[in-house]
Amino acid sequence: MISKNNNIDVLIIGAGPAGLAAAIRAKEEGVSNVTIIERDKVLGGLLHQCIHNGFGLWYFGQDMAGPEYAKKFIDRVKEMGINILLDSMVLNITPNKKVTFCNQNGVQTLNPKAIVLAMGCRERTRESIMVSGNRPAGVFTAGTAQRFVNVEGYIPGKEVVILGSGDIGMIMARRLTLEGLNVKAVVEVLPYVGGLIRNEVQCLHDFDIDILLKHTVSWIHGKERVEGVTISEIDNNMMPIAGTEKDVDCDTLILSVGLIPENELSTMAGVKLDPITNGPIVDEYRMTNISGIFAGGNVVQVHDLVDNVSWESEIAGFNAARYAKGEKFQEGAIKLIPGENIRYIVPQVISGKEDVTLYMRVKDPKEMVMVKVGDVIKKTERVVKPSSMLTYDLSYEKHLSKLPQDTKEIMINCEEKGK
Amino acid sequence: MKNNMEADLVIIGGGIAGTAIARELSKYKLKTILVEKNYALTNGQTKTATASIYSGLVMIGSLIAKSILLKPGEPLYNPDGFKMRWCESGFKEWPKVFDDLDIKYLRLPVLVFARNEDELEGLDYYEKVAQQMGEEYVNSYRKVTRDEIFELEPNLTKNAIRGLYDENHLVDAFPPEIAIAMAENAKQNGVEIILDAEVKNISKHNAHHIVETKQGNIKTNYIINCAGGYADKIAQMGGGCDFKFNYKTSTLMIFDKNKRSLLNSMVRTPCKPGYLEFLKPTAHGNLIGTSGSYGTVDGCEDTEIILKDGIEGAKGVSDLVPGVTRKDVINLWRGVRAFGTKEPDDYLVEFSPFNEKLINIVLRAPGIAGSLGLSKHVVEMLKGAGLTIEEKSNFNPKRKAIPKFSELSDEERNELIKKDPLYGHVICRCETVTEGEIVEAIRRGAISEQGIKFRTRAGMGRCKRGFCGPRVIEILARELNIPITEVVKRSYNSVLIPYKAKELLLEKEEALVR
Repeated sequence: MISKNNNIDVLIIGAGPAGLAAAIRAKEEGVSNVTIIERDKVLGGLLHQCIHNGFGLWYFGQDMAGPEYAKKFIDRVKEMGINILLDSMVLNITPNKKVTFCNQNGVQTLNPKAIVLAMGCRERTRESIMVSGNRPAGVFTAGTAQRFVNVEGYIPGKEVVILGSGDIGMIMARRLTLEGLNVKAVVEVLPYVGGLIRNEVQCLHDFDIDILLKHTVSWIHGKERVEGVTISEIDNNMMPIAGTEKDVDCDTLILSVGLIPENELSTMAGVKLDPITNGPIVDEYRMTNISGIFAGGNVVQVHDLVDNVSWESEIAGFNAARYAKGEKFQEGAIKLIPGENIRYIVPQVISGKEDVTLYMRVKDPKEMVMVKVGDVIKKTERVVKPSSMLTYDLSYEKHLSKLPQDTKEIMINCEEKGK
Repeated sequence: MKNNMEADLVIIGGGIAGTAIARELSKYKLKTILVEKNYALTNGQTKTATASIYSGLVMIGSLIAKSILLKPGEPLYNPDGFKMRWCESGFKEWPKVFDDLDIKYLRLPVLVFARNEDELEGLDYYEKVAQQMGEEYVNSYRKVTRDEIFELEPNLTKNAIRGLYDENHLVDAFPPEIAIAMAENAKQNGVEIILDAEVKNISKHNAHHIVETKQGNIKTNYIINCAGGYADKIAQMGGGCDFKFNYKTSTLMIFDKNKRSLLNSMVRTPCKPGYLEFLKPTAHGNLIGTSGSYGTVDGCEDTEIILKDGIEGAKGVSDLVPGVTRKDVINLWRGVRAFGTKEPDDYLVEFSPFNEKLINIVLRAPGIAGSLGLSKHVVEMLKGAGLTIEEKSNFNPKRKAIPKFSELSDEERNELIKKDPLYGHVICRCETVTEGEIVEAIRRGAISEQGIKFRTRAGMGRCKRGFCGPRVIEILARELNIPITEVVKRSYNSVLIPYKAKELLLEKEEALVR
């Protein structure tokens, strides 16, 4: 075991969908030692608790549940002879790529040639959004509740209100209904549903679960255990409007109020983060500002489809393997600048010398817009929404080679038509 | 449920007063029992305190801020009162106790600064108060210019004009850690600690009391009422109560550890009556801060978070250090400070006028600093009342903390893991807390999520138990040999996960069949 850990070409941190895909792709590139390090006892990460369907429609052309999707990758990882360190927590990464971890055998330091960050993301909490009221038992983030129900075999209460209409929130509304709980409402501060349309239809409408848009939970009642919540309309500053309060009895409040890429290790390694995505600033190879440290999946940007997580991480895995073999990369000479109604773009930097896929999110939902990538792509979109990621393929031959030699920036705008 | 328990003394309440007195009494040949109504020690004012132990500029600020409780014309402080004397002596004595009990603490400089005319006047008032309080206070600080301010605190708001700087009159520690360490040391030395033991009734007989608790009756000679915000209820049960409470509240916020490097000292604007605003590093590497007025509330349980206070508080803190924003808040709470009406500006420590064997104790903020002096005074009171008090020869003043994996060197970590592989299994990723630490906390008496949290910091990080929550519940159930559906947050009626999967479906089905 120890010797196997000595000459690592590519070390993958995290064995969720991102880590698994990156490891496979790196190994395919012909490097001999690809190692995955994972804190859980099993490979697959969050996919194990995602027992609903909707995974793999794009990647495999097949509708699968999370564990099925994971199994496809796990089987491949095992077949390929990828080295696996389970039940092992990474404690530190240095800018010169020394990785310290611990498990029940002790603390060890690894010195891989390249690293892929694939730690995924975590959920925003009640405290971070400062929901007013008591602090009783019975307030859970959606992912934690999902783990209890689907992995541990326990349910958090009888009557539930869900704050936030992110995908996990809506999926939990359905899951808990099927478990016999009474989901009294899904409450969303935005004027539109936060997650995918298919989840709105299949998880809420099909189960007659009410969704209250432009509302929030303005108070949590119950000193020791949740006894109810107050739901209020909100004003344009997201503050509850006095006089609109409605009390709802419930014993559980579930929060699906956003995800934050988990980059504490990245920061230790000196990796620079994008303040909008909260993920590393990466180039088209998914390399960060630290040479040899790559990143893929939800640690870079919160995706709405696991298929995109897999694809993005493959880029990181592929290039980490190339890096380990000593290949050189084109320099990231061109910055991509979010313009009108664009919240962010990944990658943030490109070389301009290779084909690249851009992932973007808009700020506000709009209909009939023109998305302009500099002057090289102009595309009409019928509907754009913050919850649906936009992807555009930039080809070197068709687009990038047409740019003037000294191009330093490309601005991307999402303009209303007729402007 | 235990029966026929007997003691010389029963301490009611497991906050700072109760645990400090328990430890002090454990030096003597006495049978002492401490009863706490919750599943974890420190559930009231102690757990919501900031744990500043101070003299110097912070004391001046504290006196000014809390002067709203004074009657018109009353002086800002009473140098001969319990509070002032024990806070002063406590500031000097606590670090030794922290060392003995292996409690983590941090000495911090204090920078009080002004951004405008109004706050400059505030600085002048600080100096005036220092003059009144004497040489020790006048010499506790020096004046600093704008340039010096930015040398000391480069990340401070550029609006700073000038300030006062106090290098060594503030110590920070984590209040529940202090109380739990006191309790553990008391237990080592023979004090019995019983959780989930709410006092239901107290009856007085000729030479003794019967304290009826949820865990059984205790026959005792003396009772020490350390029930904090419930001290009035206990006093009443013990024969009568001659005090009430005024309740003041303020919101405190904890900021992400990744902002710790922005500050070297406690930074604050001058306190005004009823108003305080500060940001400071904690002993455990976060920042803690507040900005706002003391509110008045009806009771000691009125601790609900208020969104507006959180937003305004975070804004106030950002106005001190712009690099810290609302986005960095990982926890917030509202603490209630109960101020007894009988001694509004001092601690109330006396035998009940209605019961010569019951001592009523009502601390007021700052309470932790003064609790050492309090504990020694209580022993004197008991002696004075005729209780035979004999020192033990084998009192052990030292207590070892649970090993903190996150703070150890790799060599130390390896040694620990070799002894017990559970120390190689990280459960809380934000605070890097291992299963070994959690199991040790349970061995030391933790029976709730909060008990684990306060002993190990598991769940105190930025994800707020999102990751470690289910794992901690599992370990608690396993180690306590109870079903997961019975694991609680902090009290008997705060069950976290009440049902097994399918349980509700089966219930519904059975209802249909019937």
